[in-house]
Amino acid sequence: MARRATFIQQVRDQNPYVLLLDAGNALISMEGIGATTEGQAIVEGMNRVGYDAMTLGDQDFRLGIDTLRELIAEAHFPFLSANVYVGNTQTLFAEPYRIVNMAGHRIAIIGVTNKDLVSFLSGGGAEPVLVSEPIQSIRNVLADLAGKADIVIVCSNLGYDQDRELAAQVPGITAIIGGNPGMLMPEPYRDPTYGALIVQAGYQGEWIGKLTLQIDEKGQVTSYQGEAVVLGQEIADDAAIRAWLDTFPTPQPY
Amino acid sequence: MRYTRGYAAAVPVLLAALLLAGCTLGGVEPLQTPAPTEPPQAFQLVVLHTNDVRGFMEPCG
Repeated sequence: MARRATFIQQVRDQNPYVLLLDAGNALISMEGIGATTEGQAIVEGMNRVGYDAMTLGDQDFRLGIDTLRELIAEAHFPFLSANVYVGNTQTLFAEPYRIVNMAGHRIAIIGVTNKDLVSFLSGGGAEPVLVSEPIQSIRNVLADLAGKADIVIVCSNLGYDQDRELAAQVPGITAIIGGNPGMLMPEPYRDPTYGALIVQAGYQGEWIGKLTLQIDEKGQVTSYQGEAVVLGQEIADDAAIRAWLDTFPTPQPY
Repeated sequence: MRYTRGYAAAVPVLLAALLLAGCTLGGVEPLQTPAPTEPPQAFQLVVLHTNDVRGFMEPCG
C-alpha cells in the first residue's frame, strides 16, 4: 500500500485527469491486518490513497453482508455493482455506477460482480443477495445511461473470459478494468468487434495497472497504452502511509 | 388524539420533502456529479487500477 501510494501520487503529479479504480476482491484476507480488522484497514488505506470506486468482488462477500455494509459506509468512495440485489427484491446492494466529469466529458464507471458469488452464499435458508446475469445487467445500465455518459468504463469482477464476451457482445464500452482471479496482462487487449480495451493487473497488490487513453473531443479513444507496473523495492514507501501501517501491532509477514 | 392527527398530517409533507431532496425509498441511486459546464475537449485520461489485492498491504518484492 505504501509503494502503491507513492506511484499513484507520482502519476497524479504528472497528469490532471486520473482515475483510481479497483476491480474487486480487495477486502477479503486470510492473514495480516486485513484479516484482523475484517477489511476495515483495507478500506481506510483505500480512503487514504483516494480511490474513486471499487467493484464488489465475489470474494468480498465472504466477509458477510453486515460487515460489508459497514465497510461501504466507512468508504470515501463508492462500492459498485450493477447485478447484486438484496434478497429477492429489485433493490441493488450497491450503486450500479458513478459518473465523473473530466475535461467536459461524462465518464461512467460501472461495476459488475461475478456470479460465482452465488456458489458460497446459497444453501442454508434464504439468500441474502441475488446475483443477476452480468452481461444483461450491463446492457440495462447502458440503456439507462443513454445520453448521460460520453465514456464508459466497466470495472469488472467477471474474469477475463467473461470480459472478452462482454467486449464482443456489448457496444459502447470504452474499457473494461478486469479482475478475478488475478491475471497479469502486460498490455491491453483490444476487442476487434467494438474496440473495447481489456486490462487486468495481477494480484495481491504486487502490481498496479496504468492505462493511458488519448481521447478526442467526441469521447473516442484515438490511441492507448497500458502496462502493469511492478511495485518493487525501487519505489519508495509513501511516508504517511508507512507511518500509518506501522501503527498496527501485528507485523506483516509479506 | 390531536397530536396523532398532527403527526399523520405531517407524513405526506415529510415524504414530499424527501422526494424533493432527491431521496428514493428502497433503492440505491447511482452517484453522479453535476453535468459538465465546459465543452468537451481532447484530453489524456490515465486509469490506475488494481484487482484481487485480497487484503495484502505489502507487496512481496
